[in-house]
Order: sequence, then C-alpha cells, then structure tokens
Amino acid sequence: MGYLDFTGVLSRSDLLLKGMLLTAQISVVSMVFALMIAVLVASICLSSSRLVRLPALAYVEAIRNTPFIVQVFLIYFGLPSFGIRLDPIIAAILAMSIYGGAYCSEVIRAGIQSITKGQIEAGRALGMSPLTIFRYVILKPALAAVFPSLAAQFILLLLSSSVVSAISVPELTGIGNDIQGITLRNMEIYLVIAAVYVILVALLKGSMTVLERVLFPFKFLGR
Amino acid sequence: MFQQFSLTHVQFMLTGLGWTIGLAMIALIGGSIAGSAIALMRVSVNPVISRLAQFYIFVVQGTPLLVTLFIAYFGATYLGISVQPIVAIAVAFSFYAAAFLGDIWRGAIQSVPKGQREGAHALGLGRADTLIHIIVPQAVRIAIPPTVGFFVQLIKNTSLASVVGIVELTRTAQIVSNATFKPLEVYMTAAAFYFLVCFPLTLVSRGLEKRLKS
Amino acid sequence: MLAFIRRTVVGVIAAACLSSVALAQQTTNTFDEIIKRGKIIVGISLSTPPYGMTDANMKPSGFDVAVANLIARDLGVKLEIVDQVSQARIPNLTTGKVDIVISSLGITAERAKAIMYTNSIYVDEQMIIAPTASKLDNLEALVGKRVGVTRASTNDTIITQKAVQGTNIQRFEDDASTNQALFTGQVDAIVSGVAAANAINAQTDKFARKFAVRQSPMGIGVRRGDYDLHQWLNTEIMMLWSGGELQAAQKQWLGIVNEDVPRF
Repeated sequence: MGYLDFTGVLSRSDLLLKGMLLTAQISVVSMVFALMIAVLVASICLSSSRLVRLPALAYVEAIRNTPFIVQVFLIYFGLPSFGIRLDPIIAAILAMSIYGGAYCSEVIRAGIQSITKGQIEAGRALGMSPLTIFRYVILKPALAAVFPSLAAQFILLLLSSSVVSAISVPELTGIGNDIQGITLRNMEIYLVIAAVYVILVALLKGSMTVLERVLFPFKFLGR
Repeated sequence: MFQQFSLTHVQFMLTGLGWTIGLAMIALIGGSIAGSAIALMRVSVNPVISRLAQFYIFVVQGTPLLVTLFIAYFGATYLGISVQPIVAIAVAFSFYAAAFLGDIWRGAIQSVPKGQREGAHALGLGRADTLIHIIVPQAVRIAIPPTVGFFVQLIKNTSLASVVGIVELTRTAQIVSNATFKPLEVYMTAAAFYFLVCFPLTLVSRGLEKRLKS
Repeated sequence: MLAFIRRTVVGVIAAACLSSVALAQQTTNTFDEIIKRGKIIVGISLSTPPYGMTDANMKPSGFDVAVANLIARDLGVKLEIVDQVSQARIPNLTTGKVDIVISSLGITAERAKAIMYTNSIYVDEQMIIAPTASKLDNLEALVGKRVGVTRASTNDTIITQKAVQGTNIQRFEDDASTNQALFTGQVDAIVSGVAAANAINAQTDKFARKFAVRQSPMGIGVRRGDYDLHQWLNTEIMMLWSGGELQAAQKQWLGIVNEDVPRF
C-alpha cells in the first residue's frame, strides 16, 4: 500500500455510474417532496392559532436538532415495531423528504414573511380569491425571494443522501464501500467518489440557476 | 445472551455523548482558526488568494462529510503520517468546519455597510487598521448567531464518525442496540440526547439573532 | 496559512502523480515494536457478537477478545483493542493503525493478496438464516428474496459468488444492522456464521438455520512482510490448541468446538 492505483476502481465505473444515477434519483425525488412538505409546514407555522402551529413547530425543531443518521435508523429499523416495513430506497426517500422539508420550511417561512401586507391587500382589492392570493401574491414571490437559499438546502440534501448507504441503499457511497470491499483500495475509491459528488453538486447548482431564470424571469428584468 | 436495555446502557451512551461534544468542540476550535484564515483570504483584494479560498469552500462543501471522513481516516497514512483514527477524524472535522465558518464569516465581514469602510478611509485609517478596528468588531456581532447555529450542525454531524468506528453517541447506540436488539428504544434515547443538547443551543442562536435585529 | 494550504495542495497533487511510487514503505519490524512498547494493538469489531461485543459492564468481550487476551498474555505485553467496522478491518491493518486483526476474519484468496493470514483459529460455516416458518431450502429459493449480509465480510464474498441471479442482496455496515434487518423483517433472510446463528437462537426461536452455503476458516490478519510476528503467532496458535485453551474459548463464546483447525 502507500501508493495510489486507480485501475481497480476505474474498471468498475459501470457500478459507479449506477450508484451515481441512484443518488441523483433519490435526491431529486426527495427535493420535490421536501418542497411540498415545506410549503405546507411553513403555511401552518404562520397560522394565528397556537394550537395549529405547535405540531408544525415541534416537527421542525425535532428534525433540526437530531442527526440525520439517527432519523434514518429510526425510520428503517424503528418503524417495523409498528408493523411498517419500507423498502430501503423508499425509507431513504422518506427520511430525506422529512429532513429536507424541515429545513426548507424555515427558508420558505422567511420568504413568506418578506411579503408585505400591502401586497396582499392589493390582491384582495383586485378581487382575487384567497387561494389565488396565496399562489400568486404570496407563494410565488416568496419562492423567488428565497430561491438561492432553497438551492443551498437542496445541495445539502443531495450530500446527505450518502448517509443512506447505512441502510443498504446502493447509492454512490454504498457502491463505493462495496468496491472498497472488493479491491481494498480505500483511498482511491473515496477520492473518486468525492470528485463525483463535487461534479453532481456543480450540476445541481447550474440547473438551479437555470431554473431560477425560467421560473422567475421577473427577477432578472432590467438587469 | 442478549441483555435488557438498562441504566448501564444509558450511562454508556452518556459517555458517548461526552465524546460527541468533545469532538464538536475540537472541530469548532480548529475550524475557527482555519476558518478565519479562509474568510480573510476570501475577502482579499488579490483575486488569486480569493479564488483559492473560494475553491476550497466549493470542494469541501461539495463533498459529503461521510466521504471526507473516509478520506481522512485512510488518507493520513498515504501521506506518510501515522496518527490515531480519532485524531484523523478530528482534523477532518476541523477542515470541514473551516469551509463553513469561513463562508459564514466572509458573509459577516461583507455585510458591514460600505459607508463604514469609506468613513474609516476618510479618517486616514489603512486597510488593515480598518479591517481590525472597524470591520471585524461589527462582523463578529453579526457572525455569532449563525456560528452557534453551525455548532449545532457540528454536534449532529459528529454522528457520522460512528460509521468509521469512533465510539461517540451514535456508535454507542449501535453497540447497545446490537447487545439488546431494541433499535426503536435505543435510537429514540440517542435522539433525545442529541435534542437536549442541540435545542437549547438553537434557542440561544435564535435569541442572539433577534437581539441583533432589534 | 496560505503557505500551508499551498503545501497541502502540492502534497496532494504530488501524491496523485506518484501513483506507482511507494511513499510510506514499511521498514519497522512490528514484532520488535510490540515488545519494545509493551503493548499490542489489536483491531476487533465490537459489533459482531459473539466474536466481538461488549458485556453488561460495557467491557469488550467475545471470542476474538478472548484470543487477543491470550496472545497479549503470552507476549507479556498489554492489550489495546481498536474497535472497527467490518469494512475497515483490512485497511486498518495495511495502513498501520493496528498491529494485527482478530475480527472474525475469514480467509479468502483475494484478501491474502493484501495481508498475510496465520493458521486458522476457528472454522465457521456460512449459513442462511430466515424466519422459522419460511421455506428457503437452497440458493434457488432465494431468487426474488431480500438477503441481508454485512458489507465486505466473508459472508458477503460468498453469497455474492454463489447467489443465483435475481437474488436481491442488501449490504449493511455491520452485523448489528444486518441482524436488525432480519429481526425487523426488513429482509427475508441473512447470511451468517454458525456462532452468530447460535447467538440469534439464544435470543429467540423465531429464526432458524436453513442451509449451509460454505465452510470458511478464520485466521489472524498480519501485515505483509511481518514474518517474525507471523511465525510467532503460528507458534502461539499451535500451543493454544495443544493446551486446549483455543478449544475452551471456542466452547465458551461460540458454543461449538472444531474437531481440528487447518494448518499450512
């Protein structure tokens, strides 16, 4: 040992590609669910009734103040105590959505709070229904305002997916561990994997920038 | 052969919690030292230095911590350095913390209004003096709440050291869960421990932030 | 700081470039070093009952720990145990973090390219364990089933080799997770050694051995080139066997005694 030899690792690039695709898939699916959870929870958190707010706040605090790996173990190994058995990939997506949802809800809450009362009143004056006001006057500008923070949370979510290798999900890190077990070339494999994650993050960052321009063109007017 | 989940196990997990907090503290201290260097490099007028810091932040923030830990765990020996696993892990956490703290503190430095800098210039202060006497004291006030917030992240993220066999809280939970085969109870206990440490810190961070705003 | 970062970056790049040049060649004699420092550092996974685990007082115990204690006693040195996950066993040895590995380490030709093995200290049998009621009598019956196994273990190597296509193998980080997956019904069966199966049956009769996949002898792992240590350990294993102490440890922790252990 003591020297680097990438042949064993690179000859298994088909496996790595499979792992990379699974990482991308579970991450993107979780982002969508996390966003849905976040919008729901953020709206509940802004309710005027304390009783309504409390469960939502408890959810956000419980998730934000415990480690992700413990949440993953609780869902995969803990839920069977209640007769709920999830496929590892489903368990991973559930854990990531719940985790990402808590963080994103804080971001979205900040975005909604940045909408002034005047805007909402203007919407009412124009005769918009409450649902229309929520969609177009509150949610869309709020999302536009916090989109960069949201993108940062999505990147953290992508990186957190490496943890689900612990419940046998064959994503990038899990595949890496497998290859390490066969080739015993630990340093090489983890350097390659780190590089792949950096590329994935760069791709995600790029697509979020494009997405921001497509979804919220009004942010870029007059620039 | 398998044991009841008992107070002895909870005590064992408490010693794990000690290691969790210790590891997070080391990372905070090591990360603060390297992180201030990164932050200063990042706001440097020299584009090469600034880019270098930016690249460091990009790579470390773009790699999952778990993978960083694997690299540190096996990597030190490849560079000819012989250290205990716990030392390698503590160093890895410090490098990780440096990237995030460097970024947080850069934001804090840059959020000090431009007028302050111009005013100091008008009074005849040099660049370094302006940074040390005018910018940094204000930046520290701005930086404290997110830094406490990041410390909470550090405490939680030390749980990943369990995967390379460092006996901190999550690893003790795994060991106990294995001895008792009561995963739900054991992991709930671990989660409760983390929550009891992290939640007060989160509240402190939030309180400081509120005070700063008013 | 800048110089330091520059040096680090240069160092990493240099390491990558010198990909075929040995950087940290081994020059020390581990056997002499153990005697000199008065301590042997042994890698053992403490989440692999009954080989490595912790007792009710949270002290390391199990078959591997017992063998490590005997070895330290006969070397006349103190014992330091480094806990490790299954997949870190060989890297920890090759990167010099431990002197030897006694960690339910099955002997395989592939691993023997990376490390040296001593004579065997126990011969295990890999078997399929599943809920008692289920009918899984051969490898064909596992097609379409979820089979849990500890990643990078001998069990993993064997089932990966022998499994019929269509078997859904799920890999976990350690035996604790693998067993949990079986107990919680997250997998239909697991691959496990005899002793681990005994340990499960001591807890519950809901799970039973279904069929044996293969036999696998376990040895102690030594770094390549550590011939002095290797020779001493083989002598020690022979002495422990003829004195009956190895059999006693097998009986106490694994519940079975091998008729003989293969030597080479």
